[in-house]
Amino acid sequence: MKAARATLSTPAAFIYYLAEIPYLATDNVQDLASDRSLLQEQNQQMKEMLAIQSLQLQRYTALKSENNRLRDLLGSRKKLPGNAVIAEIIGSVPNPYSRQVFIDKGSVDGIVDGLGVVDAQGLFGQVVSVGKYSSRVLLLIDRDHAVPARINRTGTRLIAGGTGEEETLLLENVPISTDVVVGDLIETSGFGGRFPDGYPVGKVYSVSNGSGLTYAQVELSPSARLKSTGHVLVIMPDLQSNKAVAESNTNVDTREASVK
Amino acid sequence: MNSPGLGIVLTLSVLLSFVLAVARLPGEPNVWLTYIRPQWILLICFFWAQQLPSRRGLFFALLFGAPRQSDDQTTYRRGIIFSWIFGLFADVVLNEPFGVNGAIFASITFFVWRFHQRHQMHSMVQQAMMIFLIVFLAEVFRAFVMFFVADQPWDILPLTRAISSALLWPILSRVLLRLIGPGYN
Repeated sequence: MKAARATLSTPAAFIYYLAEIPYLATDNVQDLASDRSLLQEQNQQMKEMLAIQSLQLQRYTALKSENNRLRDLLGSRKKLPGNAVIAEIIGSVPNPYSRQVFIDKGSVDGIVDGLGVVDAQGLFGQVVSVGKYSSRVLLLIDRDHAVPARINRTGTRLIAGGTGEEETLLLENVPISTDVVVGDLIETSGFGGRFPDGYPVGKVYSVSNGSGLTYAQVELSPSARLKSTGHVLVIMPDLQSNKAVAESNTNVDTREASVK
Repeated sequence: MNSPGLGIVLTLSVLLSFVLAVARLPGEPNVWLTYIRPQWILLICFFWAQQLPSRRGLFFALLFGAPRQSDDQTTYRRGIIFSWIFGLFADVVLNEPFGVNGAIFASITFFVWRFHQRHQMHSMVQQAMMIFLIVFLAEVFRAFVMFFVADQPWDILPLTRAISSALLWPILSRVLLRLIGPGYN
């Protein structure tokens, strides 16, 4: 059954591409029509952003390899996640109750079932069905979705479930006495092994723990920009962690050499 | 009649119905426009079941062209099975459990073929009322299945979609009839 769906999903993805053509065309026309000064301004902003982020990335690469070395010393098997694949959203499932989108990467790009998907702001969802050139991603706000999470401030482990609504996630079964306040950042805990830990899920915007309630009602707004269409990152599993660590070490060495 | 023009209209209309069924609407995914989105695929399925003279169904005509009338029982059954298979593709496109759209398409095909002669006597208003009923029943069935399988809530969706489909039907059928030319069927 799953194989049949995967086979049929290739022509289905073609239909989603066709349906997306008007939006792609308007984007192209806008690109053509935008004037030179605006482009230069955007270019300048992006250069500045790139400079800042590559600085952070340098620190991150060094920290990551150091972290992995320390984990090796401790004998811990857990490694930081490997690389990611950039994918473009090409359409959403036409059902007001189901929050799913199609992305333009499939099994030929190495996507498999169950991979985590993030965007620039935070956790986006997970891959639930893979075709040859496209896959379906279940958003974290879908009613059927839940993600093991923790409060960034205290480390308390919880589960963040989707409600089907655009702006709201619900923390499930939170004891009244839990220390959680408005503004707390909720991030993935890495439990269950599906999502790597440390990705932001959302920010708490309402806590009600009155005496009449069995559990505290904690609502958060997702960090990821789920409404916008654009690019997302599919986090690939790091199968050859040791190799990756070795490579990142050499990368760091070469960069240090080039800086000198 | 097995004109190439008919084949082109058939293929393009089916393709367009799928594209319109999944087209992303501007703005949020939950705008009111979603609620009155007509069931394009159902309407196209209904139209071609009505217009194609051979009892072989839409899917067969898509693959092999539309041959002349043949009323024996085997092709009749095969046509209904073909429309069920055609529904599997719609299931994948709309992301619904396998067989939901197949059951709907097969029922519609059967219904249209059973009441073919009577239906040709109806006026546009009567046809639109018929469409309302068919789309409403199909959508209630779909909502019923999705309620059990995917735990989706009941909603006003079947009603609004049936109304918009019925309102669309006179225009759609007139345009398509114009395209395939007079004197056909």
